[in-house]
Amino acid sequence: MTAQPVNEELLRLKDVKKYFGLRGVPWRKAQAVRAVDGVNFVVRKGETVGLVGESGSGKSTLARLATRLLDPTQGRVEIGGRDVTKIHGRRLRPIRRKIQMVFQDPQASLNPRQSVGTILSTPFLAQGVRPTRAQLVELLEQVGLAEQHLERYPHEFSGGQRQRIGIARALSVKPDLLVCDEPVSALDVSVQAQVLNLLADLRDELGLSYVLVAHDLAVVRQVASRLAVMYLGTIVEEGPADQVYSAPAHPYTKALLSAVPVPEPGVKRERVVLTGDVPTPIDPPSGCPFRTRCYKAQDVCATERPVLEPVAGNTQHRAACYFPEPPTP
Amino acid sequence: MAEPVLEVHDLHVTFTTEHGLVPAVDGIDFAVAPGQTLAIVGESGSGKSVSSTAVMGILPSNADVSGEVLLDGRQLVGLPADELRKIRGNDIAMVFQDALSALNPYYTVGWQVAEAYRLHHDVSKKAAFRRAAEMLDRVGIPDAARRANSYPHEFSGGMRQRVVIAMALVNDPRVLIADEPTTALDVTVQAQIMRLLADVQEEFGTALVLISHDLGVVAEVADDILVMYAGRAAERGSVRDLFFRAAHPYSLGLLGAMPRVDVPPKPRLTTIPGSPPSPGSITTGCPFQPRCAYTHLVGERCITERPELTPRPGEGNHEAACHLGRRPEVIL
Repeated sequence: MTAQPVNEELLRLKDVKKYFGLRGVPWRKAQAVRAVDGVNFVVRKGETVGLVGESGSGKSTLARLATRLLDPTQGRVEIGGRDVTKIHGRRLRPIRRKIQMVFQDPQASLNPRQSVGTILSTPFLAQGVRPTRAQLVELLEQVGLAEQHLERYPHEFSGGQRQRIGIARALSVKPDLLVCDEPVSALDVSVQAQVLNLLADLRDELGLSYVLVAHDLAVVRQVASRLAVMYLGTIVEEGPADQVYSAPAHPYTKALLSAVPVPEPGVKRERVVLTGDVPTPIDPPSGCPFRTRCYKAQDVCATERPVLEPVAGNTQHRAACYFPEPPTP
Repeated sequence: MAEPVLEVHDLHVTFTTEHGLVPAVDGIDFAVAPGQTLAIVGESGSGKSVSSTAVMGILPSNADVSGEVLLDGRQLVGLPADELRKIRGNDIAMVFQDALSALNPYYTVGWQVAEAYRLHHDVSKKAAFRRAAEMLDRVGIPDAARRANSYPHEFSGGMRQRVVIAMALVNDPRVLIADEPTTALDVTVQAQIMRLLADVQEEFGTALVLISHDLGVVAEVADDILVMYAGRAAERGSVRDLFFRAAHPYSLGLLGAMPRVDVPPKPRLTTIPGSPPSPGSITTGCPFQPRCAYTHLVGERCITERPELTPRPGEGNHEAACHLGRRPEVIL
């Protein structure tokens, strides 16, 4: 929260699209799932960008595009100011040092047959470096584990500890940017808070930046400095976290925030209840993707997709809506 | 307050496993009255789901259940299977977390809801199907009469959960047990489902037992709360007792660990060190003691003596199982 954003650009996604092909069957022609449908996304040094949205909004796909785990159908991925869209395989490795990923399910993302020491050594070896024991121990200590854990195997740890190992592995190559895909959603509440505090500590100690992909808006509010809200493969609103949380401009953001229950009895919140479900990304609505569920939708919303525009002249805070909510009263 | 429709006294559930006996639920009590909502809160392994499945009598055969489960004063534990079948789905119904696995992919949703009705009512298939369509309409499925002929895979997650709720409500149960009914759903859909449950409860006077780990959901809908930890009750009381006068260090820890969406973030979340114990791993003293920040204020007793629920100041039946005996101050 205190780290000052410097203007150095760590990641830039330019008009990226990712369509997943659905194989055609004889009686139906091939279709595409438009998981990410034209997104511009920038992360600067010192930022923690929260990427939120409901299931199927494309937030995880965007995270995988950013880490080059997926190839974009269209658009450009720049890491550290360099276009890496066309770089594959071995030549990606030096670039991967700058950006690492932490996955949702620590159970599935750690090899059960490897000791923690082996798991943590792998990224070093991929970079052609043989790590010393002291380096591995330092990594463990950074995430609140200790030397005695080096020889143990993933099943000997609790969920929260496994997530710490996943974070230590990501930190091993000293990345600038950590992309965390739902890092705490598999954890119990009491353990979730430990991991969130750890992420904040690491940011302050190591000057890390984060992209935090999560569906839990309260979790994101705790750590994010900037927020991007996704709906059906597009970013519908982005801006400084405190501004977006306190004065959401897009009707979807407003509805989403109002739907989150607050752990305090008797707090009556004005709730915007959306009807229906998220439409299918195979055949998204014309114009604004949100118009089918929007309480403000008018004819113009069906014509052309609104683009991100400054909210009340504030270039930091932008929303893609023809009828944005007025800024805070 | 009205007479409780469901009462549970000293419920124990022990599983026989390869590794010996596992006491998943170790003596809990709760009660819920018509139209009221009791929330059972806890983390993984706390026994909250096992206690609700024990009430339904649907635990596997390696589970040993003892204690009292009284529905309108009638003991359900030990009832023969055919007697229990008349009650289950009729007087007590359950909604599970994962609607997709609670539905049969081979049958239309209308057929499945009608089937649940026909099990307890002697009516024609046609009449049961009509009743099913009515129920689907009641839970907010658009164009219900036609959609009753659709299969589960043709519905979204939120709509499937509505179908499961329709199935649970088709026999006008007196008690509805909902085990994490919205955990698998997006937050906008969660809001729809919680509103539906509240509406249904108001209309039919159903008693609701809500199993949840989400204190936000609980704060909104619960009248009473039972906080479970390692198979035991850590604290219980009204929703205001728990949120404003939490007397157990564990409850206090849970509240501090919840990030909030409506206010600017605290610099740090309070945390509970360690992670929840596996059932049966702590046999003496207080099960929360290894993670507790207040043990030094009490001493040996926490390790040697199991704390019982004792009354605390509050709106009535506020009780906590902690030797500290007073409200712990927040330690950061």
